[in-house]
Amino acid sequence: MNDRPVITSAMARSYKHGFITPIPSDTIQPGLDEKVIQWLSAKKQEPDFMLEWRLAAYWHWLGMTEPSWSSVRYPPIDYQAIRYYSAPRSANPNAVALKDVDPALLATYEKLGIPLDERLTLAGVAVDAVFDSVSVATTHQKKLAEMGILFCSMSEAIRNHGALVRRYLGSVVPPGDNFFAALNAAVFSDGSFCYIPPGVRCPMELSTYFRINAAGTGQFERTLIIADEYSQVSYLEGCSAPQRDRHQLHAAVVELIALEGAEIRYSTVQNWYPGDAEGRGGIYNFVTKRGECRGDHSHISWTQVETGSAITWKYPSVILRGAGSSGRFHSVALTNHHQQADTGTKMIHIGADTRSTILSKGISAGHGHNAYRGLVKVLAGATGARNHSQCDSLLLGEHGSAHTYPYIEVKNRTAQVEHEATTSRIDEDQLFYCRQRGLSNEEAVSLIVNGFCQEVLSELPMEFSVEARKLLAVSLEGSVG
Amino acid sequence: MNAFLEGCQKQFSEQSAHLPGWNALPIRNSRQEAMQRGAQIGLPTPQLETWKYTPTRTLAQSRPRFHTEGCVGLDLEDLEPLLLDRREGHRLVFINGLLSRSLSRWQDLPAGVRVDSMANLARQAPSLLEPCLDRFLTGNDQGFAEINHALWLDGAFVQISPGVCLSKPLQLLFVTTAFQEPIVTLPWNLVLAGNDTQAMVIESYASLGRSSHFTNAYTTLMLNAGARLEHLLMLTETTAAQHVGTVQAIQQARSHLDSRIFSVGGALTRQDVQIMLAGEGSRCLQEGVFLAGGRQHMDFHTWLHHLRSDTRSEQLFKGILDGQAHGVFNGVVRVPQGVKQIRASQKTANLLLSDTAEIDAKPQLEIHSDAVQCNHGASVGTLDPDALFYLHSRGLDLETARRVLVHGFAAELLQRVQPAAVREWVAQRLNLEGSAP
Repeated sequence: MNDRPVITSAMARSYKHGFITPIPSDTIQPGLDEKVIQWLSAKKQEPDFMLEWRLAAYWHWLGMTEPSWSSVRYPPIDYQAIRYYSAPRSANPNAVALKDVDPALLATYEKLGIPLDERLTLAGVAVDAVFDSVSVATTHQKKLAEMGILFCSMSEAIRNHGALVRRYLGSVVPPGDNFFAALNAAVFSDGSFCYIPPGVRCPMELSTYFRINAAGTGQFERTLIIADEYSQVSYLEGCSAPQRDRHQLHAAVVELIALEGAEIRYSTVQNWYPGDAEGRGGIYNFVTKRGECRGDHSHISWTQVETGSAITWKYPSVILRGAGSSGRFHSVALTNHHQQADTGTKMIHIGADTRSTILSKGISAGHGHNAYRGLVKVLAGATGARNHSQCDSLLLGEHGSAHTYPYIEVKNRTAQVEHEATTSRIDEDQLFYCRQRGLSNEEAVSLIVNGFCQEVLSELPMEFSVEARKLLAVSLEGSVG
Repeated sequence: MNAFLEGCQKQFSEQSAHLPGWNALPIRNSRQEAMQRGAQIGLPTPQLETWKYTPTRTLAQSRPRFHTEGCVGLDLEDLEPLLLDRREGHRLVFINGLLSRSLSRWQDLPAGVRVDSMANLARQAPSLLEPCLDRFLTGNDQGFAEINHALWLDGAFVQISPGVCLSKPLQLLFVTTAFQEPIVTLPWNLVLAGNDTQAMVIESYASLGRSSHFTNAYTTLMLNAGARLEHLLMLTETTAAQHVGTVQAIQQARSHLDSRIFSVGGALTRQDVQIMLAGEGSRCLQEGVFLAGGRQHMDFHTWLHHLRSDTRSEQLFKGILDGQAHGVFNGVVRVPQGVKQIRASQKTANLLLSDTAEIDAKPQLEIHSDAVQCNHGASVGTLDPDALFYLHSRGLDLETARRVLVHGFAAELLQRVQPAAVREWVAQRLNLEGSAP
């Protein structure tokens, strides 16, 4: 039945974060070699062990080839044409108070809806604001420090908490893990660091907002979150970039470590510039995210809403090492126009009685391509392991595509693993019902899509959930017909 | 290049003149091209995504020994349990890859059904094979299939004229006997089902003796408009044998294919099933159950290509693994752009009975069209302790209770096999008697 009325939406797809902040910045020449890494390390006043670590990763990266197994297609990336560092000239690495931060930067975040002034922010959220290659401000640090929580930029952590960084950095995602992780390890410029001491329940949501502003640069940030025994933390990540017709690379690494009884919730609303309706421009998002439930009865959950990026390539994973530990993955990935997403998760069950849940919702509109790629691996020692996966795909329009590649590898007989998936388009009956109740076609689709994603969106913290719903509606504009 | 491929090339260059159909140009070309492609792509290795879990190394390092002589002195008694119906049944029996006329029986087949050995046909009526030569699968994971296309020595040819209905199942039996050195057999089977025909073909592989051997089989099923074909594949070779096989089915409009696989045999068993739903209104049912124990490796890869609108497929595959067995199921449902009204459902369920067995399941959907309803499901688990306890409490000892539950798990698929005589024979060959009422 192809008789759906065609809605020719007059509105072009609106990407409201597409503005550029005109601000002088320090940017190095394009290209990557050992000198760039040495310069970067020196610029950040890093201890020697970091430089060695970076160089080892770089040499390893030189011997690696770019992965081609995923279903995303893009022209080859010239890694020598990227600028590996760009920071606003006014960024003050030693800024302690907000008054030391350039007002132009503050205004940018204000415009993005992330006021950095602590009086204006939502009481429950501390923000680390990353602008191009550097962190420009971190809020509520003092209040958190009173409880022993360390929340700062990665650069600061390397300088001030070297022992912790040295112990945990790269312990979940080793520098040579994969092509993009190796590149990140060599050139990462900043990111967020967070340590929650034993028994502490973090009183507010911690968050990082990544903003790419300069042209021709790549953003390589690295986030490390350590939740010590019986602590709890909820972490949010947001991002956006200006509207440009050239692709920009974003290759981040996120490592989570949960010790005994600890709980980490990591939520992402990814809204990088997706490119225009013809597929020009947009961010290439190649991200390695992995958490390790190192201690018994620890818990890690990933929630992601992926609406941006020309290409999304990410598989937030959980290594369930501790006995009784559990992992969750909740994802909504929406691709419209010429966006491509190859995303999913890995749940590696090592410890006994480990549990994992996967819920993935993919929506393909326009020429969008969406693939779920997941691995559930139960090793021989994971007695009593349990997994349930569900991945549903919704197709809007006849040019989209939806693929599902679930890998299930089980080496323990007591494990129970279930996977189910469906692929279909919006039910005509549901559409008809909504329309006869007076909703326009576009509203009806939006309502149904929202319902389709409901289970995932309800996992997000409240403010993010509202934001995500708006994003889904915006991203679908012009695609219904 | 590895020893196996080298051996194949040597055989090809030395023996090509003796290969069936060498004098017919299209067949000769097809063989030569296949050998070239085979040498180019080599045997598949775990680096290829579709062969990720299949251990082909020992096979690749072995030197192949081809058997080209006629059959040894076997009589029907020796084959008794392998035959579906010794007295009345229609069958083609191949011993060590070559047709044995004395053991085969097809005299009273209805008019309009032509059966023959492929070797014979390639010499006498090569034009019948020509249209099928360019339908072979290609791709860099087809190394074993290419070797079959280059070197096939014999196989079954079945042609059913339009409108003919075969009332009795036709069995194609491939038996390999014990040799001092393991031999390689390379059958190519071709079933041409004409318009509006009906037939059941049972393709079964077995061994006599416990020696190791390697079967590299390729079966082409062509279903014309309105044809209904049941294809039942029985893999019951010894646990020392290696088996790599492909079933390729091409379905025209309104045709129905029931493809069933039952497997208990082989140290290494790798079976590919490629079904092309190439005509509107075609339907296919793909089912299978495999039981692996000891150190067996069983590997099943299926592709269902919905190439035309209004096509449907349904799939259910079950694995039962004991000992240190390793099972693999990879099912792909592919819907290209532009086709509409597709329904596909795919399920796999697997039972692990021991602490050392392993299963790798990957049901896969690749959908490029929005006018579809597709779903898949996969599950892995062990016997339900509550069910075991219940049966135990009713007086069954644990071993029997376990067997009842395992049989019950397999019975879902066995029960659908019709007629009853075939079902009983299958159950007996799988050692699952009594599980299908």
